[in-house]
This record gives sequence, C-alpha cells and structure tokens, in this order.
Amino acid sequence: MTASGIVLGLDVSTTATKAILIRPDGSVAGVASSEYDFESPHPLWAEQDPALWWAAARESIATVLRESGTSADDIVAIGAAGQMHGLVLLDEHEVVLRPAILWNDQRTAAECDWIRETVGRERFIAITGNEPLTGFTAGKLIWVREHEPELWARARHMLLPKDYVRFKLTGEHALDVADGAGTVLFDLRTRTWSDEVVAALGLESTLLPRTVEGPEIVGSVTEEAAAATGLRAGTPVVGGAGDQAANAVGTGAVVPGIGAMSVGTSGVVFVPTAAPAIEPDGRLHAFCHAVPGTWHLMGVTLSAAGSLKWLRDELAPDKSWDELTALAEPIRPGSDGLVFLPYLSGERTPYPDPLARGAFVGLTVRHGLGHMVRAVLEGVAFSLRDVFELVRDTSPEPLRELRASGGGTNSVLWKQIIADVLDVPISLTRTAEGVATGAAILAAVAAGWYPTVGDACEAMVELAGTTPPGPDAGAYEAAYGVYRSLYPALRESFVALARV
Amino acid sequence: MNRPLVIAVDLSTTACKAVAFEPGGAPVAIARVALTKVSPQPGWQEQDSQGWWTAACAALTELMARVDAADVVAICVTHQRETFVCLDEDGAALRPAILWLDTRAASQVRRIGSKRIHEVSGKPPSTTPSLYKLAWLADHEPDVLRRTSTVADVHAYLVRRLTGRWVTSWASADPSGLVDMRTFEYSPELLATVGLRVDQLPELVAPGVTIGEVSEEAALATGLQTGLPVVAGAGDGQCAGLGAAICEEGRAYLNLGTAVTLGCHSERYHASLAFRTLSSPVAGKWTLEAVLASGALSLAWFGREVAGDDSPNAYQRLEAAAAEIAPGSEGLLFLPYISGVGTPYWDSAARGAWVGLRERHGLAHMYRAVLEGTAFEQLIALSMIGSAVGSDTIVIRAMGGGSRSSLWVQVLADILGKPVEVTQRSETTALGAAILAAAAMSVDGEGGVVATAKRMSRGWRTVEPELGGVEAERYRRLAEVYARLYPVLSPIFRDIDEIGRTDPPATGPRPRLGRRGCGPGWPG
Repeated sequence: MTASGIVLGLDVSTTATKAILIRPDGSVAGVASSEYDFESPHPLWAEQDPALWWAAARESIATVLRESGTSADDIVAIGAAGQMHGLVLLDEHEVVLRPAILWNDQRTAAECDWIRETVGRERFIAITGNEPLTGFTAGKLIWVREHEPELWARARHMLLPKDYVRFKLTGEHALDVADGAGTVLFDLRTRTWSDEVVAALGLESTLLPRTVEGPEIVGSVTEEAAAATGLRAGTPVVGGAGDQAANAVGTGAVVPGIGAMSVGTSGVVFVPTAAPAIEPDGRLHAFCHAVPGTWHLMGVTLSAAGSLKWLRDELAPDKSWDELTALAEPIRPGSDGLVFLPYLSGERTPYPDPLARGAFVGLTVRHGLGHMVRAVLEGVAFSLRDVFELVRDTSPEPLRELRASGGGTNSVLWKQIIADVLDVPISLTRTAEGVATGAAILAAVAAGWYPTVGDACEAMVELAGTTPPGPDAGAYEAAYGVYRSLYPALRESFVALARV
Repeated sequence: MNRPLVIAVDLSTTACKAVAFEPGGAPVAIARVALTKVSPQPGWQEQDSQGWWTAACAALTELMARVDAADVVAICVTHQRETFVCLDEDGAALRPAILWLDTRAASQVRRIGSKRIHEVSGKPPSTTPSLYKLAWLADHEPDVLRRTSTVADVHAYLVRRLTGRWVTSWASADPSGLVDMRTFEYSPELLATVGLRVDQLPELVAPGVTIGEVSEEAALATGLQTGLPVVAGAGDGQCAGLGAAICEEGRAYLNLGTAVTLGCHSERYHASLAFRTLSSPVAGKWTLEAVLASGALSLAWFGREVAGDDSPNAYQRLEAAAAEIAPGSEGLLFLPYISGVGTPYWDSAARGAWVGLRERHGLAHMYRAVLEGTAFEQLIALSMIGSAVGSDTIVIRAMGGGSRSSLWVQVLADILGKPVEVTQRSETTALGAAILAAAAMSVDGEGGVVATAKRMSRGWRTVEPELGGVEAERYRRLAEVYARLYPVLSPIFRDIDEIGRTDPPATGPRPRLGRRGCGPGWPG
C-alpha cells in the first residue's frame, strides 16, 4: 500500500498545545499552536485545568487545518504526546474532579517518603525502575487521597494530560506505556501496571486505564469531537507517548545505539535500550519507550543552555550568542584549568540535590571572560557526560550517535565540545517540533504507512548534519576528572549556604 | 626660622616618591618618578638597580626645588621589601635586581624550605624571601654569588649612594630571610643555606638610629645638603603601620593595595604559618603580617577581565551596583586566590573560585563577593594572629588605594565586626619613614618613636560596623562556610596544577562514576 494522506500529531505541553500535519516523506504540511498558563496557588504547587488543553487542542487543530488548506478527510491517523506525569482525575460521569497536578509540582515529598517506606526503596526501584520522586504521578494520587478525601471518594478514572485529550477525542480511557511507566506504578518488565505496587499503595486497579503501545490504535474520533475540532469522525487515534519518548521518535532515536539529547534550558539525555535496564540507585529514569519492545534510560541535568543564558544575561548582555561563543574559541580545551559546575538551579542527575549550586573553580589572573564562557560550555558537556557514564554503567549497548535538539545545538563550538567530551557523533535533524512529530510518526505506523516505528523514522526523519568527535576528543579527560571531584568536595558547603 | 622638615624616600615597585613632611605629619611637597620592571621569563620579575638611584635623584631634585634645603633636618628611606641586588666591590650590579614578586625559586623553596628556617627567620617558606632566590642564584648563577661583594636590599643600596656606607636597618634586611628574628642579627645558619659570608652583607643597625650623613657627591645629585643625617628606615609594610601609629599591642594596620596586608604590633617574638614575622620600626619589637597577594588585584582583575571595563569610572559603577546587593551576596562566596595564597596556607597552586552560584546571581553579586572574600580572609588572619599572640585587636587602621573605597571599608568593618579607621591624608607609608627621621632628630620636643608616631599620625575617621543582628549573624555563618572552602578545594587545586604541568593530557582509563555514586544521603 502506498503511503498517502496526512498524519496529525499533537503536543500537549506545559505551556501550549501544538498541532502538526505531516506527509509520508516527513515534510510538514502545517503547524499551529495555542498557549496557556499554569497556576501555582501555593508554594511548590503547579496545576492546570484540563479544559485548557482541550480548548487549545481544538483551536490548534482547527487553525492548522484551515491555514494549511488540509481537508479533515486527508488525515489518516492521529497521535498525541505531551507533558508527562500530570494527574487527571475524573468522576463516574467522566467529569474532571479538580485541576491536574503537574510534573513540576513538588508538594508530595511526604507522600513519596511513605511510598518508599511502604514498598521498600530497593523493591520499588527493582519493579518500576525509578525512585518515587515528587514529580511522578504515584505520589500525587496518594496526596489527593490523604488531603482531599471527598474528591478521592468520587474518583473513578485516572489519566495523564495527553490521555485526557485523547479521551476527549475518542471517549476511550487508555494510557501508553511510555507515559505509563512515568506514573511509577508500572512493572517495567511487563510494560503495564504492577499489581504488587498498586496493591501495596492501596489503590484500586479500576481507577487505572488500560495500557497500550504507542503505535496501537486506541479508538477513533467521535461525532462530538469531530464537530468540536473539524476532524473527520472515525479517524483512528493511537496510544501516543510521553513527551521525551515522542521527541526521541521525532528525531529518530528509536533503536539502541542512537540516543537523543536535548540541550535546552535543561539538558535531557535519552538512550533506548533493548531490554529494561535499571540503575539500582534510581539515579536514572527507566521507562518504556514508545517503540514496542524497547525501553529507555533518561537523565536530566537542570541547567544546560540555561547556564549559558545566565552567563550572557549577567556578564555580557550586549553580546549576541555568536559573539559570546566566539570568545571561547581561542581558549584551549580545559580552559587553562578553569572548571564550571553548572548547578545554578540545583541538580537532578547524577546528584538529585535541590541545594546544589554552581561554581567557577580555578581562576587566575590570566583567566578572563573567554575562559569563563568556555568553562560553561565544557561544564555543561561534562554534566551531560556524567549522565552518559551512568547510562554506560547501567546498559551495555554502545552509543554510536546522538540526535540533538534544543537551543544549545545552534552553536558549532558547543556541538564540537559535546561531541569531543562524549566521544560520540552529534547529529541534528530537520525536525522542528520533535514531540508533535513523534506523535505523528506513531500515528503513521498505525495508518500502515510503514511497518515499524524504525522504518517510519528512516523515511520521515531527515538528518541535517553530523558533528563527529574531532582531534580534541580525549583532550578533556583530566579536566573531566577535576570536574567530577567538585561536587563531592563542595556538597556540604552548598548545604551550609542554604542554611545561612 | 621655618618649621623643620623631614624627608621620606619611598621606593616601591612602581615608583620612587620623595615626600617632605612638617612636624604635624602633613606632607608639604611630593615628587614622584615612575619605575619600570621587566619579566624576561615567565615568573621572573627584575629591575635595574641603577634605575633606583636615578629615580631617587630625580624625585629628590624635584622635591628640593620646592622646599628650602635649610629646613630639612633628616632623611629616611622606606622601600619595596625582599628585593635585592648583587653588587661587586665597586658597588656596580653584577646582574639585574630580583624583585619580591619574582617566583622563579619554587623548587628551591621545596628543597630548602623548612620549619627551622621559618622559626629563625620568621618567614614561612615561599618564593618571596630573598633567601630562596639567593639559593636559586647559587644553583643557576654561582659565578654571580662568588663575585658578589655585597647583597643589598633597596634601603642598603640607597643608603650607600647617599652616605658611602654599607649599612642597613634590620627592619629593611629582615625580609631577606637571613636575619635571626629573635636577635636581629644575621643568622650564620641561614647564611650557610645559601653559602653567603657575613662580609657579603651590609652592617645591621636598629631602625630609627642615625646611620650617616649625605655625602657631597650625593648632595650634588639630589639637591640635599651635604651632611644631612640619614636615619635607618624600614620596609614599606612596616612603615605603613608606623605611619598609622600602629606601635602598640591591640593595634593593626590594613594596607589595601594590590596585595592586602594586615599587620599587628607585637611586643614578643612569635612565629606561625598564619603570619610573617618582621621587625617593627619600633626597634626591638615585631610586626606580624598576614598577606593576601590578590587584594585590590582581585578587583582590578574583575573589572578588566570579567566586567570587561577598565575605564576610569568602572569601579564607581561596580561599587554602586554592589552596594545595592544585600550583605552576603545572597550566598555567593569568592576565594580571592587568583595568584595563589600566602598566609595561612602558603599554596602557590591555589586558585580563585566563586562558589554558590544560582540563577539570581549577577555581575554585582560577583563583585560584592570579591570584596567580601578579601574581608573574610582578614577575619581569618585576625583570628589566627590573635590566637598566636594571646590578645585581640581593637584598633584597625586602613590605608592604601583601597581605603578610598567606602564600600570596601564598610564591608571590612561589617565582616570584622570592628570599627575601621581611615584617613584623608595620603602617603602613610612615607609618613612612617618620616616619623623615624623626626624621632631621631627629636623634632618638636618629645623623642621616642611611639610618641612621635602618635603626634604625626592624624586625620583618622572611624567607620563603624553597620549591621543589625540578622545580617551580622548571616556574615558569621558565611564566614564559617568560607573558612572551609580552601581545605575542601586544595586537593582540586593540586590536581589542576598537576594537569597544567603535564600538558598534553595523559591517556589512561577514563574517570568513571562509582557504583554507589556520590549523591547526598539517599532517603531510607
């Protein structure tokens, strides 16, 4: 069957819902976006009304159809992806009970401690692949049960953000395995709910939706949804994925050996694995990939391009990005002994420490702004390498390429430094909207355009240049060793500074 | 007859100044001639000693054109310390003078430097004391030492030119590291470490005694009167202290220059890594000095290299912005070791650092942290000196270029928790030499260096600590964190130094994260 028609991908992010229309060759027929805010009614809280997502989805779908002149009849399948971990609760009438509690909400420290004690920390990691962190869904469920018992008594259905949008499109309750693993209620190996964990936490399994693989068809657009969006009733909708897995699909990181790296405000390293791989201390996230039969390891460094932006905003606001990185070009690898610890917003991987702070160590009279810029570029690369070292220790499959995205990849020098520090080629793709594109690619598989996700990526994801490790690969070993010793040396100072 | 004047010659690293003072301690005329130095190899710092005399003659000639020579009753020299020149029997230099800043003798320090040398000389091993550079000459230019008739400090060199005598103040010689600080005589033991004979060194006298008279030849070259008494002076650090009347226990001077020096007067001899022990200009007493090599240097470096602004108004702008930042810079600390650290750690491999950076920190925080870092250093120094001496410092007087920064002085007062006095008058170092000259001549009645200092050191204004309970407590806690920074970072500085010396980097096993990792205490 020749691939024809268009697939629609949705990205239900924290700040906007985006709709993208993609053709079988991967070219984009149209993109539209509709924005919204999230609320923080109390310190550490982050909430969003699911109605905002659905309204934004309707608007962006209508807009992209109209502006691209695409007929709804041309859309062969739909996939949605979005912000992970957010808790949506519906009552018996399928009405939303309260605002969704989002991935960046941090209120659940006590609940996560309780989960850890109840299941046992090591056992929990062994089953789910992860520590019960405050960002994940499990703690949020317990929080509602403990703090809002009347609402809890009426709760009948749990969904994650993009699943809510899919529910509004299709009327079906379902959860894809990539996003599902992010609830940390999953048995990572069986790719579905862990009866043991669910029972230990006293949760009803009827609350939890059925689990599906990313490219699996969940249902189809209802009449009601068609009227609301302009879509054709009956259009198939797939499982989709959480945003990190969707972005990996969108950039072609779908087989072991090809990872994805995002150098945005924070840095995310995403490595597909052929089998579930768990870091026994939970220092890496371990989830299912949106590709059937595949899992992934993930690490997040909290301040990546954010560090360079900080330096520019504070020390060189009059310089463009290019002018700033140009200062670093004549400086030698290792910045003449100046090392930057990029923990300006605390850190997550490999040290989950909100009290961690940044540092410049090794300054002499001969160091100047150029050295500081270079040290920032190298320091962020070192923090990405920390994640890779952890991945390498956890999963043996060698990495032969990284698909990179995010603002940091605009710098030729930074890409080279990262390629040299990691000793892995860095490739860019033409994909502009990684998450929505990944969701669309999953839909393309369901539509029968390609037999597997891997094949779909081969056809639809176009590379846009590769930076291989250069002659300086290996020049950073000693500096990396110094970098590695900094956090252990300064950790207690950071704790003490927080108490000042 | 006009009031009697005394003349101070202050020959620093960068200039020779000649200053005439009236009995009340006010300068009535100043002349200044610049000096240059050269760095023929990395770490080497040298000067042409002939240039010292040429500059001194030019400065004195200019000064003497503005005062009546008949009013001048005495002259005294102060100078950059540790700098020395090897002269032949005619007093001609055998090679350029080696400066106090010169760092070529690092391996000599490692080989010879010892606790014993520290105990006797009062100088912890470092490249600064002349001793180690003399050892370097013994290793690398033995011929120079063999042919050396006199090893002269700057004071000895100028006194020789003025009077024809090879005599120096022991307060000028002791920075060489060759003097037994308990007796103020050359130490045969110390001389033996570099193979010098005592006849290769100028005769030692107490600071403040009359050494000789200006010769006819010198009078012609300088405009001074023949026969003018030349009084034994002291090194510039000690003279800055005397110029601030820091000549009793419980009093300290804080010289806010390129380096920041904190000096306390002591009636007894103490040796400790926390300070260098020098001769006080009050003969028979001591000055204990803590030194931070990168004091105002840190500020200049920041302006030039980090803020990218070395225009004349740069510091005013930076200071205005930093003054808006809360004390404690919102938890950002700066270790001001951009040219290594002297007291108390003596680590030339040490480097500078900002620790505690968060998104909210900006240029103004980083600058304020530099000021606060230099002040935390002084807090440590004062505390260590106090422990060694067994008493507290009550009076602190600040001088030098940095004392004109009202923010820096306020930060110091706030972090030290003590009032800091500053003066409108400049030339405090030269005043110290002038005080020695005036005391020797019993100008204006009462003799004695201490009484004369109190009379001539005037115009001091007190800057009080300003902080209330919460902010003062914040500084106390920050000081504790600050004090632990060098101990936790010193192994890292060693590693960085190692790497720098074994360029290109070695191949070998890649550093790996350990299985158990290094995260903070995991729950459970």
